[in-house]
Amino acid sequence: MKKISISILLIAIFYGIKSSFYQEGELMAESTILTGLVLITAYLLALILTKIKLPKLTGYMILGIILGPMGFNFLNYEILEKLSFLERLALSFIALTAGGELKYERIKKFTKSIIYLLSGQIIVVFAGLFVLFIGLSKYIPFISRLEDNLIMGFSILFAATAISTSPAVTIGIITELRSKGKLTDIVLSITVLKSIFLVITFPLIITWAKFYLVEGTSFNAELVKDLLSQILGSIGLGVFLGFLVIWYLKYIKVERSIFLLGVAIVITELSSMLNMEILVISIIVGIMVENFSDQGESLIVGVEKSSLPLYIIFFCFAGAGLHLETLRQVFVLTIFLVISRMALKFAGNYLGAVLAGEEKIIKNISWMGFIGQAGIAVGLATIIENTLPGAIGSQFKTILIASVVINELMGPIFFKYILIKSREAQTERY
Amino acid sequence: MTALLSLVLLVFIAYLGSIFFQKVKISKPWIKCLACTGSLYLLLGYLIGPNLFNVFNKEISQQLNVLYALVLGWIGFLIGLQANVKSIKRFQKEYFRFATINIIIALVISFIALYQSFHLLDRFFNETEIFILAIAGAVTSPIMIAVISREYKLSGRVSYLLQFAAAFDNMLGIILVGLVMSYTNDISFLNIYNPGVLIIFVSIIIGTIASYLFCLLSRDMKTDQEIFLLVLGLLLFIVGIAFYLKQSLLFISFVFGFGIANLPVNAKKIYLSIQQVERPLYILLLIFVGANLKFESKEYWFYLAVFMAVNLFAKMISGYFANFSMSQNSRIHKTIGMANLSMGGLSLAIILDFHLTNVSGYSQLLLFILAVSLVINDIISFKYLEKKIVQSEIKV
Repeated sequence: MKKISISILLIAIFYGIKSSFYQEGELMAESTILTGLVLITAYLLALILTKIKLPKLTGYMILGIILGPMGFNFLNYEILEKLSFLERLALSFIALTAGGELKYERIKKFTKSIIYLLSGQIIVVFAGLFVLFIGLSKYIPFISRLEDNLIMGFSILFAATAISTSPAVTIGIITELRSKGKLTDIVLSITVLKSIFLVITFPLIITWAKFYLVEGTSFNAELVKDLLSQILGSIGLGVFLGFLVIWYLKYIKVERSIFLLGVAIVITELSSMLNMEILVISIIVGIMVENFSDQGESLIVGVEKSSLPLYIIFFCFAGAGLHLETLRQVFVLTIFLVISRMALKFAGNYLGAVLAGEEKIIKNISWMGFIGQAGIAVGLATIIENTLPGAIGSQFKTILIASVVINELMGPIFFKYILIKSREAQTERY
Repeated sequence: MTALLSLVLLVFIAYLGSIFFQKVKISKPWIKCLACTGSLYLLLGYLIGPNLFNVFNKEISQQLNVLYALVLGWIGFLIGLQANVKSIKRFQKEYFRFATINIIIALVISFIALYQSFHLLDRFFNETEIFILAIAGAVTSPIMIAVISREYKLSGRVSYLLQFAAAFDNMLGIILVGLVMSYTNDISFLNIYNPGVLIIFVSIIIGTIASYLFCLLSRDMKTDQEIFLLVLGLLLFIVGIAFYLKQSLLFISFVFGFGIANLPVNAKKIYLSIQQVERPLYILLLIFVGANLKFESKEYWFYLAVFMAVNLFAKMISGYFANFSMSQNSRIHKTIGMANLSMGGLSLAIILDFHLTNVSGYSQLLLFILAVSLVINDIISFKYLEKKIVQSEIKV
């Protein structure tokens, strides 16, 4: 009751001040006060939700929905745009942690399982959804009218998007629960590897889909060249920054968390300036520090010290950016596709686990760690809409985003459940 | 180069500089003092600002306004957090008398002398700007005194007294800035034009509510991470409100810190949880100011000379009377006012605060005056402290 009252009080103060003193061009005042409001109220809501065993991340996202364009509209698109650098910064921080958690010494005994589970998920989910989408196309009114090549193109994109798992949700829940153990390591490793795999293959997949969607698309050697330079550049920068971080943590030692925040800012800004992959650079830095020095623990502790505000901002903004109105429009179809994705994740994961000779818990429940879906789908949805303007493009975009909305909300809940069930969650308060 | 990237590179360079000064033994204490009080960061900011290398240009500076605001909020909050009434009351009454007379006389003389000088010479500052300048000039840097005490291993009564006076005038300075900015801002509230009293009232209420909320929530949020989050969140919230009210960011965050310091929470633990960002933020402040320094005409030197002369005169007189107010056997030296010449980061923060919340054509000039006089005063003050105080208190 106390937490709810305080949250309402803060929102009321903000509303009162904004309506009494609002002047045009006061975006700075508004974004400052809103950042403060989000940090406090999101965390309070998260604490309330932990009492009903829900993850804190869900609380942050729910607050985003409440304050976002679908709710009070305090976090409107203009504010979200102005503060978007915080979101990218948080992503870099999250990926740094993800890389820093991947110690080869620790996961090498699961290498076989990781490869089988990863392959199982990629193949089964992609192939399954691809076939399902083509098979269903005759029964979905607005798709049945399309030509076969267009259906092929959309099926490729839809199936490829479904493979992705959100590294932010994975690392967010692991950090929240201070989870340690085999299941944690396997889910994290697969999520990170899958993210790197998708970053590398997505441009190729998009080109493949465009063969069917856009007339005159042909294979372009420039694309591969660009892709290679982007990935190799990201890895090179990650290695360089990794050595820099190792040197600092080893010899300078002071104010580690501030330094790491600085590194995350450098990654965020350089990646957008040089068109590199923020996720790859950050993960490589983390992996370097964890595996090529004895400073892995310092990295994680340093990042954790200042990560909480960034996590809150990231997930709250993710919540505010969820297009709930689209969910209403295609609810039944979306639910069907979300359930299909889950079923295929289970199947792919189960198959991989059986082939790897894994134990029961990995076979039966580890698939729940891969439900959260990355925001990459939103970018793809925009490509679809641009490729095919008009009602059909919009409807495709709607389905894609609507499934991300559900997966993004369900992902943390499922993952928390399995970490508690496997007794790998260490936190007292969950 | 983007704003954030420039900022990080700057802080990194500055940080390496500060580590260098910590690790390398500098034989000359005055260089050490300049490094500790931050004059060198000001210089660094100036070098990389639009005037010389232009790494930190005007657009970047404007994009980082939210960060400036956070820096100011943090400074005000930390000063408030150290203002526990019970602890302050433990000091002797003589200390209060000394500190009060010291700041009040310095302020009154500064204001009158600056006002008269500028108006006699038909120059363009208004009363608010002169008052802000007088307040910024009247506050003293506790860091300079602390560094001297540490450098020469002093533990005597004089350094305690001077540190107390510096801390006291820092608090009073922030309160006065809050009052001045409330009374002179031009916002309209409830159809009342210039609603000064109302703005002060709202600011105090908001700051106090934030303190109470902190107190209430800190019972459930006990880890260092949670405390940091709580302080950061509430600070951003009230700093945002200060922007709406066109109120001093320093003042409203000071009220917040003061409230916490006097409520039943462990202020020391809070300080330990948040102290990691204190030094980087202070460095940022100095670099910001350095980068924002503009030298637009030769007249600036004239204003600087007037300010410095008035400031020296005011501090000498106030020091004289403050010393005179002490009992016979407690008196230090009639020129003790010289020891308070070093103004420190708070004076810059006051001007930056004014610059951010009031678009005044002359706040650039105020910034120039303060920044340059800060460096010169640091040197004068150091030389004086070394000569008079060290001689009277040196133990080793």
